[in-house]
Amino acid sequence: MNYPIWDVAFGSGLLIAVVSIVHVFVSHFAVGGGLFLVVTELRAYRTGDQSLLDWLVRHTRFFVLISVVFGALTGVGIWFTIGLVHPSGTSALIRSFVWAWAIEWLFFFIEITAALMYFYGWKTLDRKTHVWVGWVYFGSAFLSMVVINGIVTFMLTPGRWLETRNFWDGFLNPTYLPSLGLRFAFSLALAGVYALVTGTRHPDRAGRPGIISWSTRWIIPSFLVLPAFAYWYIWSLDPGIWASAEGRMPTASRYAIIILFASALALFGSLLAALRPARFSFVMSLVVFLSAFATMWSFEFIRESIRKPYVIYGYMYSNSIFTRQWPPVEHLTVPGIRERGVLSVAGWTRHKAVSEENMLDAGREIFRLECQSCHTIGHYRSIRSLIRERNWDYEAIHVRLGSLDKMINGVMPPFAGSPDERQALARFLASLNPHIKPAQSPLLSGQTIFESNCSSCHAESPDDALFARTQQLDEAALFEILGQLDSLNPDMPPFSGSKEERKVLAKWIAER
Amino acid sequence: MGLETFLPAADPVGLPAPYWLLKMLLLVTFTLHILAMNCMLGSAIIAATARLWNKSGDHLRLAVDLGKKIPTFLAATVTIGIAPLLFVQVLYGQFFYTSTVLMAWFWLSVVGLVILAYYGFYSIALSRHTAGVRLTLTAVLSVIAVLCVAFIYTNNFTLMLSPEKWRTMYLADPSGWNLNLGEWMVFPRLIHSIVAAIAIAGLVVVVTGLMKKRSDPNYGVFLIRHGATWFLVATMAQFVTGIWYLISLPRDKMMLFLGKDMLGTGLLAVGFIAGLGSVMVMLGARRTGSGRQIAVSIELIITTIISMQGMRDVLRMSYLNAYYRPEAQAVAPQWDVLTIFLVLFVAALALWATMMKRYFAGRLRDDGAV
Repeated sequence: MNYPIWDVAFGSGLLIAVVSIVHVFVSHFAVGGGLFLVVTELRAYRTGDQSLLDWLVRHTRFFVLISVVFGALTGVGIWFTIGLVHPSGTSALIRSFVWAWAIEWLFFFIEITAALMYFYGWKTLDRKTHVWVGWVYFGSAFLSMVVINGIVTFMLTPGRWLETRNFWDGFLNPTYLPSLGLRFAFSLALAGVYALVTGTRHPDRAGRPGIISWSTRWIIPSFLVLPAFAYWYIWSLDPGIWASAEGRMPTASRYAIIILFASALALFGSLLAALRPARFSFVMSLVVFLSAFATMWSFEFIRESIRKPYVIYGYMYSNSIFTRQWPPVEHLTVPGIRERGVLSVAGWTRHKAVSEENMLDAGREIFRLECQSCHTIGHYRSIRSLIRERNWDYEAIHVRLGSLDKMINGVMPPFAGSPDERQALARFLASLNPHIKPAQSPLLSGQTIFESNCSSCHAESPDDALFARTQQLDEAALFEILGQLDSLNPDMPPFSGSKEERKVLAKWIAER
Repeated sequence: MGLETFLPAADPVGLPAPYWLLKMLLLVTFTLHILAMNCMLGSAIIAATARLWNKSGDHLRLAVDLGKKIPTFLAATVTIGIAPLLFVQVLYGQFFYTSTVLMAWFWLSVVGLVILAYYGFYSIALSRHTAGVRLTLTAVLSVIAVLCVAFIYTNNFTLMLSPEKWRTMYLADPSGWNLNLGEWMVFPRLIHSIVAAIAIAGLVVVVTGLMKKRSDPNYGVFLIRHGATWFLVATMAQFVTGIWYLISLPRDKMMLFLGKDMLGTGLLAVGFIAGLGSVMVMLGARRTGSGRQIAVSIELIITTIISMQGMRDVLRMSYLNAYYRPEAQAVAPQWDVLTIFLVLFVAALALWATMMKRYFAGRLRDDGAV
């Protein structure tokens, strides 16, 4: 809105997801792996295990090439990507937490120096200095997690910062500690997971079982404490936020199930490795590795999904519209934009007002401004597929645009724009579904009709307003009400099905 | 359409420290980043050229020795570079973010290009072999990747100074495939930076020669002469590329350095004289191999680099003056966190120095790995 929107056909949100998840999977390894290196080195000295030491030297090379190069660069990559996709959100984070980032940079600088010294120092340093460098590495890597965790958690739970704008209120926010525990425990598990992969490739076959066994001692306890931190994390969230992952929002709910299976598989694989280290193969280590990756992927997807419709919860919507008036961008709020028109407020549009001639083009530009931070036309979170599945026409879309924030999945910001602009957007979206299907067959079930017509705003639950308020009504009364939805509530679209469908739906609701 | 209708407004969160402090941190950390970048890019170019040249054993040996240093230089470039990128976003976010969105794919490709170059340099540094087509090809491709990054950076940091171009550019292509090629100064600016990197890396070779002179006098002298030649040729070429860059600027900007602005003119004079002095001293040092002369030459060229960074800022502000008033920025200082940062900064420097000391004191033998 304030900035031009980068038009990524396949979805800019997907780009952020891919870059950031790949990064966190490496950066967490960089923290836990640091502790693993130095503790394993001490263990090898104490036990006099030369095979373990030889493997550790090779593992350090792998560690440095993965964490110092790929981890560091993809970390910069996240920063680049969010700056491109969410300049306003990135700017808010940078301005609010620049000193936290600057402090993290100091730790990062020490971390990289120590990593290189540890790597090159295997051949050149005495043991004592080498171990000391290892501890410096781990300490600085852990502290950089301590800092960045405050900024990441702030986005979901800014807490009292929304009122005070105080650095510490934002940084030490409600999910800060559980998230730190969760991330650190997972980083220790990842140290073992990566070690399983290189351990099963150790040239000294006789040494492999010892390394595998040692690696599982990092994974299994960590996976056992993770649920406690996860519970604490969920407990620290506003219940309304977590409801998204409990069925309200499909993406978050799907990943909430995937994470259980993925983490169980990783734990099961590690238990197998612990019980039968000599028979644990490289392929099996890859299964554990991929399960751990799926666990991380799911966690980050859940975190990102339940934050919708905000990029900074309660402060800025995903499409960069502010929730409150802040100078000098007072106009970039929903009421401000409704008053002035989104095409006039955003500088980056060809059309500055809607006319009959430019209706579709202007609608396309409004889509880019307001919807494209999460949706694409035909790819990731495709709006075309959604409209075709639901068989929405202009009228149905136009009415729904007036009550987006009342949708049952709770992930949509309100539409911000003038009445003309709402029309233009609805016209553009309706043009994506030019072949409206004829009225559905009267043989369709009430459930199907409910899903097509009502489910975007109403849940199939006795607590939902639709069912709660119609408990005393019979089928005939419901039939009448369904015929005048838009006059009962201006946010509701008129029922668009046939008379037979209205009957079937009324009967279905009455039977609930 | 007036610029005020689309120029992004500053962020509603005020500056987290006074303007001057953020600016100072930007300039200091950027200068350090540029020094590391010069060592990395220039060393990569010299090492790749030495591989292609490969006239004598010394050239190949130089390529191998320098090749071992490049990953560390690149690590320093990236790590130090984070700080100025942070401060530039704090201070000039509304310009920086907009130009990056306009050239989004190129900007994002920087990450991939640096990863490729990084692995390329590491594969050379860690290779069991010292020569071969594969290593030469890797060296050349890695240099090309880093040069592409330099090209993209130059485009972005010049495009951010030209808001008047943004809207037309965006409406013609909102998908992030724009560059600032319509601006002629991009090319001399880029070439001026690359040649500077070669000159500084020449000094890296000279210093390596000084360190090797005691254990291997012939090779040490070769390095000093070879490095000094690179330094002298590149620095003298800089007088040409620098003038080219200066005259490629719009007249009012060029005149800032030719009398219209005291600071700009003073910085150019200091940079010019120090650069010339550095060349003169190095001409002598190339013959004598004197460590003292080399040190003076390095000090003088660092003075030039610092004054060039000052000039860069004078130029940036002259472009942004029309749209940006530092004094109009809302400031909401976070003194407590800032104090923690400054204390930790000193502590980190002390720890870093201790690490370096212990690392070199604890070395059992020197294999030239770092």
